[in-house]
Amino acid sequence: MKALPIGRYTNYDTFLNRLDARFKLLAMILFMVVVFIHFGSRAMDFTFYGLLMVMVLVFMRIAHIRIRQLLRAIKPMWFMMIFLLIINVLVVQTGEAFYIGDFPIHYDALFNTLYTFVRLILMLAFSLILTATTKPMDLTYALEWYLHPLTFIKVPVHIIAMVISLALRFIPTLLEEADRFMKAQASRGVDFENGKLREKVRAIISLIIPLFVSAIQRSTDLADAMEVRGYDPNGKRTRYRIMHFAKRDVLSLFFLLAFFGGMLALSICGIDFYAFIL
Amino acid sequence: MKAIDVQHLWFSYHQEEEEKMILQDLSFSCEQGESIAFIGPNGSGKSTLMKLLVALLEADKGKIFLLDKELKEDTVDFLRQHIGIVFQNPDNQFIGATVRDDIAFGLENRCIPHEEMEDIILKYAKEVGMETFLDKEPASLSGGQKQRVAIAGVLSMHPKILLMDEATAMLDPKGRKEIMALTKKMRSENKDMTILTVTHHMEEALLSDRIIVIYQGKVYMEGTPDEVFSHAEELKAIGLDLPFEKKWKEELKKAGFPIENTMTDEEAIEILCH
Ligand SMILES: Nc1ncnc2c1ncn2[C@@H]1O[C@H](COP(=O)(O)OP(=O)(O)OP(=O)(O)O)[C@@H](O)[C@H]1O
Ligand SMILES: [Mg+2]
Repeated sequence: MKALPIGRYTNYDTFLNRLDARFKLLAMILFMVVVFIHFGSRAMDFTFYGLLMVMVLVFMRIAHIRIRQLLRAIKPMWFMMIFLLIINVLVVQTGEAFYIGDFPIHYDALFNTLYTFVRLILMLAFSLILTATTKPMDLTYALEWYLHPLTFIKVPVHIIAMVISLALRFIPTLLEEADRFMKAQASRGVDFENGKLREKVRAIISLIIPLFVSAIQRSTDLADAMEVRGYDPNGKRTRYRIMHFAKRDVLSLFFLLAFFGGMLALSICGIDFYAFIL
Repeated sequence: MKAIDVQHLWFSYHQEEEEKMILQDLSFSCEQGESIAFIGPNGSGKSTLMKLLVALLEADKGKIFLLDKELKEDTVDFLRQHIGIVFQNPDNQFIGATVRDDIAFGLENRCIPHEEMEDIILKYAKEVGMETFLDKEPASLSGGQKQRVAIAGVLSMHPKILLMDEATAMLDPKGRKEIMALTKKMRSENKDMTILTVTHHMEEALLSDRIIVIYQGKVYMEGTPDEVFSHAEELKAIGLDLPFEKKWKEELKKAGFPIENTMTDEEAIEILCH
C-alpha cells in the first residue's frame, strides 16, 4: 500500500509514542504558534529556529524517523520556494541590497523567503513527528476530548468523532480497492500514465465511478452492521478507550508550558542577546 | 418456546410494482436451540429474509415472532439484544480500528461498564481464537480472521439467535473451514442458541439440523439434510447441487450399483466392496 503524504504511524514503543495524544496535539499546536513569533533581532530569530531544529532532530531520533522521510516531505515544496523567492526579489524593495549587474537584490527578500522556508520545514517536521508517534484513532479521541465543550451548544461531537474514526478505518480498505480497480481498468486498456489531459481525465473517471459505487455499497452495509449491533447515534454509550494522563504527560506539559512561556516572554520583551555580546 | 415464528410474510423493495414481490407468503418456525440452513439460488430472497428478521427491513404483510414476542417498532430494541447477525463481507462489518475496538463496539452500545469490557473482550477473542491478534488492524487480517472477529463481536452480546448470511462466501477454503469449525464449536457449547445460516455451500448446510430451501420468495422444500438431499431432481430443477457426500451415492446409483440415497456411507461402501 502506498504511503500517505504525511507520516504513517510506526509501531515503536518510544517515550513519544507513550505520551498522551491530547498532550501531543496541544504540543504540536503550540509549536506551530511558536514558530511564528518574532524576537528582538533576526539573529535571535534564527538562533531560536536552530534550537527548534535541534529539538526536532532529537525527537525524530527518539521516534525512529529518518531524516530522509523529512526530506521527502519537503521535496514537493522546492518549486514553491523558488517561486516565492522570485516574487520576493521582485516585490521587496527595502533595506540594503547587493547588485547582480544593474539588478538590485535586497537582503530582506532573501530573508523573507528563508523565514517561510524554515517555518514550513519545522511545521512539517512537527506534524511528521506527531503522526508517526500517535495512532490516528488516538488523535481522533484527543480531538473529541478538546471539542467536548461544544456539546453544550448542541454540537454532536461524538458523532463527528465516530465519522472521523470510520473514515480513518476505511482509508486502507478504499486505497486497496482503488489499486485493484486501477489494475482492472489497466488490463482493459485504460492508460493512466500517458496521453493528453483529456485522456487522463477520462482514465481517472473510469476509476472514480466504480470506487464511488463501491463506497456507497460499503457504507450501506456498514450502517446495517452498526444498527444491528445496537448503535444509536443519539443514545447513551459507554467507552472502551479511556485516556489517562500519566506522570510523564504532566511533566511534559510542565516543560512545554515553561518553554512556551519563556519564549513568549523573550519575544514580548524584545531582548536581543547579540546586542549585549557585540 | 419457539425461537422464531414467521407467519405469511410478504415483502417487496418497491411497493409500486405489484409483481415484484421478493418474499411471497413465506412461513417457517424453529425451536430454540435448533440450527437451520437456508439454501436457494441467487436472488431467491434469503438475504432479504435475514434483514427482515433483524428489522433492517419492514415486512409489507405478515408477522414475525422472535422468542414469542412480535417484532414491532416498540419491541425492536429489546429483541435486537437477543439476535445477532454476521454478514457476508468481512470488511464492511469491521467497525473498530483494531480487533479490540471492534469487539468493544457492541459492548459500548450496550452500555457495559468500562471496567468489565477488557475481560469480556479477551474471553470472546479466545472463544474464536483471535486472542493473539487483539491489537491488529483490519488491514492486516485475513478475511477469515475478520469474520471470526465479527462472530466474537456478536457472541459477546449473548444472542439467543444467531444469523449468518453467507458468512463464508468471501473466504478461501481454509477460511471457510475455520468458520465451519467455529460454528460447530458454538453449537456444542451453547445448546440453546438458535443458529440460522444462509449458504451456497451444501457441505455447510449438511451441518445443520434442518434445511429450508427458498425459491422465488417461497419455502420450496423443508426437512432434515437427509430428507432434502434425497430429492436430487427437485433441487436440480431450481439449480441447486448436492453436497459431495450425497452426490457420490447418487452418481453410483445412476451407474447401476444397488445403492440408495438413504443408506449410510458405511452401508454404501460395504456394497461397493462386494
Ligand atoms: N436493496 C435492494 N433494492 C432493490 N432490490 C433488491 C435489493 N436487495 C435485493 N434486491 C432484490 O431482491 C431479490 C432478492 O435478493 P436477496 O439479496 O434477498 O437474494 P439472496 O437469496 O440473498 O441471493 P444471493 O444468494 O445472491 O445472496 C433480488 O432479485 C434482488 O435483485
Ligand atoms: Mg444473499
